[in-house]
Amino acid sequence: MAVEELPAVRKVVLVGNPNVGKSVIFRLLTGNYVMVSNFPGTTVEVSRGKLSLGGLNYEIVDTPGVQSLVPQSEDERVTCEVLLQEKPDLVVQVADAKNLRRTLLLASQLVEFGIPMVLVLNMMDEAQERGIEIDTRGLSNLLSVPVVETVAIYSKGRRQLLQAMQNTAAPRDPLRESAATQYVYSVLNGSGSIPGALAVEWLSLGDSSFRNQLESSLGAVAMDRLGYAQTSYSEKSRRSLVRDLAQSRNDFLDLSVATYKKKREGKLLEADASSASRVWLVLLIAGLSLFVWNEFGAMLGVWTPYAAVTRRVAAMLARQPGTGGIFSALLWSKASSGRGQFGLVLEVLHFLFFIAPVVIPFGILIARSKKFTHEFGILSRRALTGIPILLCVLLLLYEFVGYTGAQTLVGFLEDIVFGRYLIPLLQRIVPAGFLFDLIVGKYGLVSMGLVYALAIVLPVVGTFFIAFGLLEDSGYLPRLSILSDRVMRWMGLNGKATLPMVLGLGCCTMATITTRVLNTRKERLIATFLLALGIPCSAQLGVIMGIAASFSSAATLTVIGVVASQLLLVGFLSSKLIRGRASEFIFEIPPIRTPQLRNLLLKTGYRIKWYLKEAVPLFLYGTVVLFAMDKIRVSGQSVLEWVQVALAPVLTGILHLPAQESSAFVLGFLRRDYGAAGMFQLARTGMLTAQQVVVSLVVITLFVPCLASFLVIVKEQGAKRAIAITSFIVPFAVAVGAALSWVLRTFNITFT
Amino acid sequence: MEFIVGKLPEQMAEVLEAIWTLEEKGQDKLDDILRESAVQVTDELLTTLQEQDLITMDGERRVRLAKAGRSLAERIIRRHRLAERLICDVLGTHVDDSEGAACEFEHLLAEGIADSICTLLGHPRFCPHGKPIPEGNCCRKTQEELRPIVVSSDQLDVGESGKIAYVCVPEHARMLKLSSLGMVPGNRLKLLQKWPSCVLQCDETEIAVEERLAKCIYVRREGRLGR
Repeated sequence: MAVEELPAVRKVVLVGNPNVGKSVIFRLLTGNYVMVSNFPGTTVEVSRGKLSLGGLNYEIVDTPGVQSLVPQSEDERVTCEVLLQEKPDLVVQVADAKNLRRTLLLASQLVEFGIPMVLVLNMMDEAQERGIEIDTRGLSNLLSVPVVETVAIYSKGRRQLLQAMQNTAAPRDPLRESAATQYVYSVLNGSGSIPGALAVEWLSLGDSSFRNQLESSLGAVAMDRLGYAQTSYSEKSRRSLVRDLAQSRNDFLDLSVATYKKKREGKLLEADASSASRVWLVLLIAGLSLFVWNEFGAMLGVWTPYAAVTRRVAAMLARQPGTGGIFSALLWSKASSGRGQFGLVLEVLHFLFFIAPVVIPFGILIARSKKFTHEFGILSRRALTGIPILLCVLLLLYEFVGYTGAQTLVGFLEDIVFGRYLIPLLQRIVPAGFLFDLIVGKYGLVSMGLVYALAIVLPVVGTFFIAFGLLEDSGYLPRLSILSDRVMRWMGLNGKATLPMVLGLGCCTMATITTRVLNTRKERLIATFLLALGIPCSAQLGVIMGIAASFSSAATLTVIGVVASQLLLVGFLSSKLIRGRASEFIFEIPPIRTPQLRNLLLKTGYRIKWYLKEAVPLFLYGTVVLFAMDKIRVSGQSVLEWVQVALAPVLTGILHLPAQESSAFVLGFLRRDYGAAGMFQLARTGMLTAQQVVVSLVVITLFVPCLASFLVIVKEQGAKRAIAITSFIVPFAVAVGAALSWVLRTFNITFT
Repeated sequence: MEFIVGKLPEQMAEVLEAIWTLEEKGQDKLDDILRESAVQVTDELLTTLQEQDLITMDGERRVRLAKAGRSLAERIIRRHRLAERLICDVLGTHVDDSEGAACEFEHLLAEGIADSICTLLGHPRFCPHGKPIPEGNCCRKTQEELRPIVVSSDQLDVGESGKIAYVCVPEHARMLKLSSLGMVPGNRLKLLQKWPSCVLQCDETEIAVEERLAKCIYVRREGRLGR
């Protein structure tokens, strides 16, 4: 019974240009969070959610952004496939109200499907700021679809959108009357209802794999007729059908934009140079000077305010009795690290001297002054100002992730929460024996697995996610792609590849999937390869920063220099060796926007949840494997010792590292950050010399992709390539490490 | 024996043109040339060309341009493709219809006029079919005496804007990409920055493009003629 009594699910597809806010609308409709940033191409996969409205159930589908429905890259193709194969009941086109021409280009293609449609003009606030007025009623008549104005991030216009979704009808194709389009439909003559003019353009792409897909969804008859339409048209009129179709579309767009869009000039930058903004600007400049002084003063050994204040406070703290409960431990923990003592008091000092003086006035200016925001957008993409800005951003990132994350939070969690309270407590409760070893022993689930996952990696990854989220939402990252295009092209990529590369600093797994935004197979392969080879993930990066902070800055620079030069070299060689074509750099640069706290928190929360779900179980499995290797004995020695013996020629012989590090490398196979965490502990407990630290960092950075990213590479590029990539990387990493180790020892560079 | 291009018999010019076009496609067989050429290629004609050291032919019936022939062919091709550009861009005729007119035009253009037209059009690098236009003296001159009205978008001053005159990308797919971003003839374009990458503003969108691509977008300057 009753199968047909189930309420029918209406399928709604969200379609739109990149970075217009489809994913924000998706959240508005379904309540599901999908990654939202101010970066074109954040969504590369389809997401689905549910909505019930007026007694009906809807399935909402969020798609990757497209410039037009004639797809240019893999993520754009996904959207076409959804429209062709899933036969949606309703299309919601989300548009940037500022860009009417591009909106109508897509709209004029979408209406050809004949699916009921709603046009959402999003970001109306930005359009108004720029003095743009749009005749929505006129547009609505033109296409006979409802047109809704929204500001999705503030949930403005949600009610109107829901209303519009409930009363829709078939749209009107304003191009149907043009001669070329009419010709196409007269030839097709009812062989299925297909978007004829669009299909002609698809065929003209000459992409054979896409052609096969089209054939399966359009049918062979229609394909034949389309082909016939093209040849017969050009025989008759000596003109090309595709060109004429494009011409009539362009004429339509020119006319419509002229009719429905009005612009008053120059409203954006009017009179917001209030005196308050000027005060903040002065504060920002002062803060930046203080930041630069503290940062470079320390490197050059010059007197700096921060060092002076820290010394006095540390001396004061040293006179305190320093015992007592968690409260005093939190305030002035005395665990030692590279920068001396730390604890909440010193952390606040660090924040006051490094992060606050720059970030607070900057944040206020970005939030308050449209003019500042606009100017910053310009300065950050020019070479002369953009590179110093990039350096400042990197240094701030370093202070936040490398100090706040990798020093303070790690110190607090590892030394105090786990070291002083949790583990001693467990050690008292758990009876000695096998269980004790398994939980709190040398390779215990808590004492190693959880300490690595929660006390070492989580704070680092968490702080990175916050910082990266801010960069993403501000719209700064696309400007980086302008600065980096020339370098990227040297490696057979282009500026567009900056997103996957920078995202790789978060986690290579996510980044490998994001390579889909790249246009050619060659670019995707090179980007995947470089990600696997030498882009350290945030945990590694945090660990590198953490370790490096306790050694000299020369050591850090050596590590960065060696890794970067290897990336460039390998990128250059693979651009020559891998066959195929690199695409040209065309990239849309969104305006700088004020990051929304809500989105930042949601996004960071989402990523941390993802980390806990993906990584923590692996950390625990890894610990169990190590535990087993330690316990199982083969002819008098444990398996782990055998592994150490087996690795010894490489590890101690070639790389001149201590044998204990072999467990870090074994873990590195599982997850890079896990391996790095193991090394972090060795370094913190003083088991490595500065030279060994540098070599280890280089080797572990270049070392194999972790299990998770290996599996993703298999999924995206196939097993053969994944294995080829890995079998290049392992010997290469060791070779580079060996060469570096030899150079450092021969020239007796000790970094002290 | 020195030829002035305009004085070269029309048939000989057509043959040289055919050889050049095939060479671009990597072909040099005589049979292909017989097919490609717009005029009847007689043995007599081939002999004359060989005698005048314009072409060479080997035992396998492969035809090459000799030094003198090459420089002649270069100038013929240049005039033909410039004529196509002129007919397409200035007269607004469709590419597919320009071919016949261009063929006749090329024989009428004197050398000096070709350079003037080249300057007027902003020294275009490709013909409407996407084939390269050989450089002339006017393109090589570093100091341009006459500021062209139509320039490639990377030659605008920073902050200067103009209307797109034509977009010349050999591949249809990339043309689509540009047009979907709003870079189509008639739209206004503003150059925001040149280095490290060009940034163009089209409508309300800022678009970063590499120099090579910016060179393919030709813009009619606004509000200034000549210097």
